[in-house]
Amino acid sequence: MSMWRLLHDSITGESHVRDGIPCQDAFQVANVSPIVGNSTLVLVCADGAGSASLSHLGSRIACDTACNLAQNFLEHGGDINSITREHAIEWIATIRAKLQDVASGQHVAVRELASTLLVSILGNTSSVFIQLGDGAFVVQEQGTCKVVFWPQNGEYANTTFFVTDEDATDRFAFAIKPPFDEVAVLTDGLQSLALDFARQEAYSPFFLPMFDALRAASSSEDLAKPFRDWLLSPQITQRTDDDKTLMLAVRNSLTSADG
Amino acid sequence: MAEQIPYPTTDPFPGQKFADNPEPRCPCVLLLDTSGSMSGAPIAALNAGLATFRDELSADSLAMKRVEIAIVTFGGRVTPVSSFSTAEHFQPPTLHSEGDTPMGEAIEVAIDMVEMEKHKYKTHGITYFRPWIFMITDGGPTDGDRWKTAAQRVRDGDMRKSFAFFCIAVEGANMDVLAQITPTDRPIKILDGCKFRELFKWLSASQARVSRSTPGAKVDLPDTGGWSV
Repeated sequence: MSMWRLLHDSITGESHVRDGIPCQDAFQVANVSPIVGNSTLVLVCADGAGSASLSHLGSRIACDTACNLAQNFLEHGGDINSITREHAIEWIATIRAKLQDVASGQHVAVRELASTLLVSILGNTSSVFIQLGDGAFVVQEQGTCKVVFWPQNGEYANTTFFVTDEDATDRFAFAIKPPFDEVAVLTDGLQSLALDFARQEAYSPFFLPMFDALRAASSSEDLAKPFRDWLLSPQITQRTDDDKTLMLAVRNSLTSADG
Repeated sequence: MAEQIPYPTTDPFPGQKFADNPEPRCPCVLLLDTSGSMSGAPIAALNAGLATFRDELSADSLAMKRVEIAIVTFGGRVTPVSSFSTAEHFQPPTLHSEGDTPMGEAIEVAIDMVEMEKHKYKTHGITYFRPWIFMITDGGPTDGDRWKTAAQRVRDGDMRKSFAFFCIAVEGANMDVLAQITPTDRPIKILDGCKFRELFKWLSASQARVSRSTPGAKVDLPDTGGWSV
């Protein structure tokens, strides 16, 4: 029996607060008990484009739809080990079509719902990662934190790719990896603090103490407020005034799980 | 008393500035006409404008770490007055005016500097925003046909989004030639009299906006009404 412990939050960037723009980040979680295999955790997050008027809606829809698609797949007999890039293409196309529908209903171009998308499916025997745009998955492996994919940006720091792009199904990154017991997902608002750009690596001192604290806490609820306070603290807000989302998941693979 | 060692003008520790400050960079070359015709009130106002630029950027903690300024002047000859340095290390120079207007060569030097700086960013894993080349002139090129090559590079580079080229014309500028250099979708702006201070306030505010822009965000530049006619 494996148990995941989770801690996650989205913080509206100072610049968005100032300009009266809603938080354009979104995330979604599902704990799935599939027919085949063991319980699986789905972690999804998305960052809506700053310039798109309904991107807060876009990121919300992208997250919820992605989470549902993965959950349906697993709950209807799909095995995590059988997930391929073709499944991911299908899912992204479905999400894009859904965004297109919503855009048509709102009489706007689908571009107005532009959002990145990060989907992770974390099983006992393997992990699946799907990424379109910037942000990152970080996994702990033998005491070191590693990014699964380097954030997808264009040449410039203020360009990236979105699930609404016409070539979204060609652009995304896909990987099947071994199972991990410590996983983080973050949006680009935290990249400059959590990643070492010179080495193109995750910055372990950023993540390891948080994974440890989450393991050590008597419950993750106890950490919710300190976590939010920390995300709102000057040491972070001085480095970035963008929306930021951080999801942390640690797994206790103990047979005597404490519930 | 120990002898003082002059600070070297070339960077002895390339990359050091990135270790100290890994923030993404927003490079901007000020390409300034310091030819003889700028003497008197215009050059004084330009110098005051540069000081304002530094002060305005200093008031913005993020811009101070991200905006990198380089200065190239063209007056008699082309002079790279300062290589790229972040706003926190930027010392506004006092410029003097003299000579003719080798604008063609100056533009090419600026483009080369931008390309080299981008290469440096890539080498050191620093992300960056689209560089700006910001030219201010009250004349037109006097270095023969060289401006034609420069114009081609400006238009190609701007179209490929390698950089964004801005041209600010001070009274007396050769508008016909400048129009052939400047990218068509970003037309020349004409400075209202000697409002350099207002111009540099605008530039500072613009760079601050670019330097904190996030993926997918369109950068709306501030209104130019305060300084352009």
